[in-house]
Amino acid sequence: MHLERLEPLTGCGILGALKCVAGMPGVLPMIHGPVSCSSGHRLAMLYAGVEPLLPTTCVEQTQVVMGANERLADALKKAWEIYHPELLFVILTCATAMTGEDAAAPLREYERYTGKSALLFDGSALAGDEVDACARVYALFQEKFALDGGGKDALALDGLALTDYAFEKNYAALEALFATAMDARFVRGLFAGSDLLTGGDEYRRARKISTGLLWDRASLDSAAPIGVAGSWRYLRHVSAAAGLPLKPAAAAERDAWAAKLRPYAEALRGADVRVGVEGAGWYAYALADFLKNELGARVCMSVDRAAGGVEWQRVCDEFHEDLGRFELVERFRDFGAKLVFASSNVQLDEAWRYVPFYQPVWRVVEPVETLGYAAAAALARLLAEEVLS
Amino acid sequence: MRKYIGTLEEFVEHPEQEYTESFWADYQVLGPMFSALRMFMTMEDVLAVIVGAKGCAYHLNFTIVAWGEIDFDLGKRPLPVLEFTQSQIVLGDFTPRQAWLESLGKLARKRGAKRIVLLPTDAMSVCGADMAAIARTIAAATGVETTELNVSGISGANQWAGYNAALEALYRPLLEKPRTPEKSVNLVGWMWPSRQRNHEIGCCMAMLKELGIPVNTVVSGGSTLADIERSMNASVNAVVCSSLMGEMLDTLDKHGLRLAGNRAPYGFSGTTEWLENIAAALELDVSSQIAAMRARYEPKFLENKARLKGKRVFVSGGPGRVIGLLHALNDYEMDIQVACMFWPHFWSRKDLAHLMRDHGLKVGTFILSPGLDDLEWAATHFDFDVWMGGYQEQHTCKRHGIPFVPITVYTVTHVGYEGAVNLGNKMLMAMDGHSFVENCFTANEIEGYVCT
Repeated sequence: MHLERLEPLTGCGILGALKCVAGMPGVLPMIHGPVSCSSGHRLAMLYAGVEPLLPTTCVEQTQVVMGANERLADALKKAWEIYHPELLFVILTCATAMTGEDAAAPLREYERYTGKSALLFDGSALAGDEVDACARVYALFQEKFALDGGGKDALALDGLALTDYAFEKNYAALEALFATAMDARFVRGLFAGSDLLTGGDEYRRARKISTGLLWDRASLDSAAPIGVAGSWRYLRHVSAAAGLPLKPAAAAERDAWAAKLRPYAEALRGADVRVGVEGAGWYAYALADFLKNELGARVCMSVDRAAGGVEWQRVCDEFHEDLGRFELVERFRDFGAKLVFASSNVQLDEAWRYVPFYQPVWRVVEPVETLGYAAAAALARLLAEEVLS
Repeated sequence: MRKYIGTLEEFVEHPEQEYTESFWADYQVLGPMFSALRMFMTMEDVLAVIVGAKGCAYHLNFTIVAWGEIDFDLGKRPLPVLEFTQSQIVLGDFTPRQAWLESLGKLARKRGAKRIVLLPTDAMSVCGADMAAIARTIAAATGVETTELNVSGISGANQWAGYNAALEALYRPLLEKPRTPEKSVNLVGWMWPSRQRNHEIGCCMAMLKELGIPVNTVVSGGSTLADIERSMNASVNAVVCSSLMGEMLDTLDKHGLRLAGNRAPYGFSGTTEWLENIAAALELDVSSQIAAMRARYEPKFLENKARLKGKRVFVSGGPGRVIGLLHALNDYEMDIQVACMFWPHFWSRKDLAHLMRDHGLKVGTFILSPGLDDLEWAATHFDFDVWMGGYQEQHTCKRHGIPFVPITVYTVTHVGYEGAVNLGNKMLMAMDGHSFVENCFTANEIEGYVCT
């Protein structure tokens, strides 16, 4: 981690956890901590496009000193009386994690008298940051609900989340991409509207493939299907991981899209095309790879966390880890970016063409699809029109 | 959090009926760090720095910038974080890294920062980190005066403690300096910083200009430290956003810088009071000009009133705004079935008592610190013609098919005589089917109404 940077791209474990559970059917997330930690993180619900229901226990200095468990126990009762959630997901903050109280005890009592589930997640900075949180949340669910790898009758892409930018649009694109190459049925992953807590068992039975927020960062093969080569690589990865063969016609489909991409790539290769990319690793590495290696652009990239299995020089020309906002604006400016795929934090209309790619996106903009073959052609056309005009 | 549900009369007369609530499905209130940061981050020559956890910077930056960057000229602003590793926190080693100090120094020079303000996060407060020592290190390395605030998330359940600490840091050094008072007024309030005529600060400036009352300084986002110092020579502070009524404004009042117009100018009655209050404090007789200004908007106001009178309305707002909105709805003689105050400040009861005593305000049910569950209760137990409240109340209104007017995400002014007309226009448009919700971040706003 480069703590010399002034402005981080990512947030704390609370944000990471909420990126997973926001909008998840049957789940009520609750902050055991001060109002500040719930009020600020309501934004995750906005990312998922749902009502910002994120109750808090409103802890203040007095409870930090005198104990906050009594308040938690009372809040759990009220949460049940008002909302009757299938799962109460309680998140500790820096303040409540440091009191040394056994916050799990009131949750056990809650489970006993409601017969429903509760999970406790330490969202404090001491326990890790936003990026660490996703795998930790997933592990909690796996243990609580005894989830296993599942069978082969359906696939669930775990790690894609309702809070991902343009999730629905990209999920539809993903389904379309898979339809070109596999006879597989897809069900919604754990953080993407699964039926785990709503009475169904499709998710539980599905073969689970780790992706998105749960990307292991081991190789580009498992990064997002962005670009024609990138989409093909991802299809092969899922095919191997799930033990499902690719359709005979899949390669021909890929070649047809590659042919469509070729004129744009040839035109762009002769130009000095500079692009900025800001995003979560699974999406950002794949996009950078597409821009650099399929379209010949020069890329400056900032990601949430460096991928241990991928040398950054392979996908970009300038690399930053966990660097964002105003400081990243300055880096993109120095790099000479003319097109930037990023959050609204680095939208600078007077300096570059902005393409929404990563949360938060707070302006009114048409969501841009990035996954799959059709998106690759559209992105190449956009780049050519913008940079070569 | 302090909670109350009942009659307005009981709330005002029996403070003991307020109680502490441990569960809050809050959807609107922000914490102390937000308010302190909102003041310093939006000033032109102050560099605010978060010290401790980066998560606070992520969400605070979002909340401050997302709704104001374009619409209110806030633009892009840095918010550096001095982040400490787990081992540093465990060992109590809070020495800023050299490379970080160098980067901060460069940024401070580039931004022309004359002061750096440090805001500790909860972990720093809980483990007793020596913020003054960190401030000294940063000052020595950057050459910029550095101040630490003693406020973090756990300092309170709303913005109050943050405003108070920030105002204290801003004004305390000026209290001992000599003043040369002049007959002018400061407009005070950390709302959106735009001074454009069609926005709220711009509207207040235009009203005062028309009355010939000189504005010394706008003490809000976009100000500099020199502006604050200059503002000490005004005779009067008038608030344009009264949710920040920190104790410092009272201290300044005792110091000779009088507090007048201490309720933001909403509605016909509230605007008139605000203007008269300022004029009286400055010993100016501008009653005929106020009447003339009011008369320009009266026909449209009365036209709206003819349709709005008696309509059943829900209203909510912070301790400043809800007082103003109640002025406006009362002027329209609407049937205020439920009124919610997001959070209370020290003067809230006094403000409500004023409305009841001097304006005959009647409210069916009053809720302090509403949660989403309270909104749901209200929507199912009452039959509203129109609902006016915080932007996230859109979800409740959508579920129940209630016409909705947002009062936290908007651009045209809601203050002044024109603001009263704008609010009336909006309620009527909502009742006629207009949706003010573009998406979860952006309102589908209308043009403002101005009579020149």
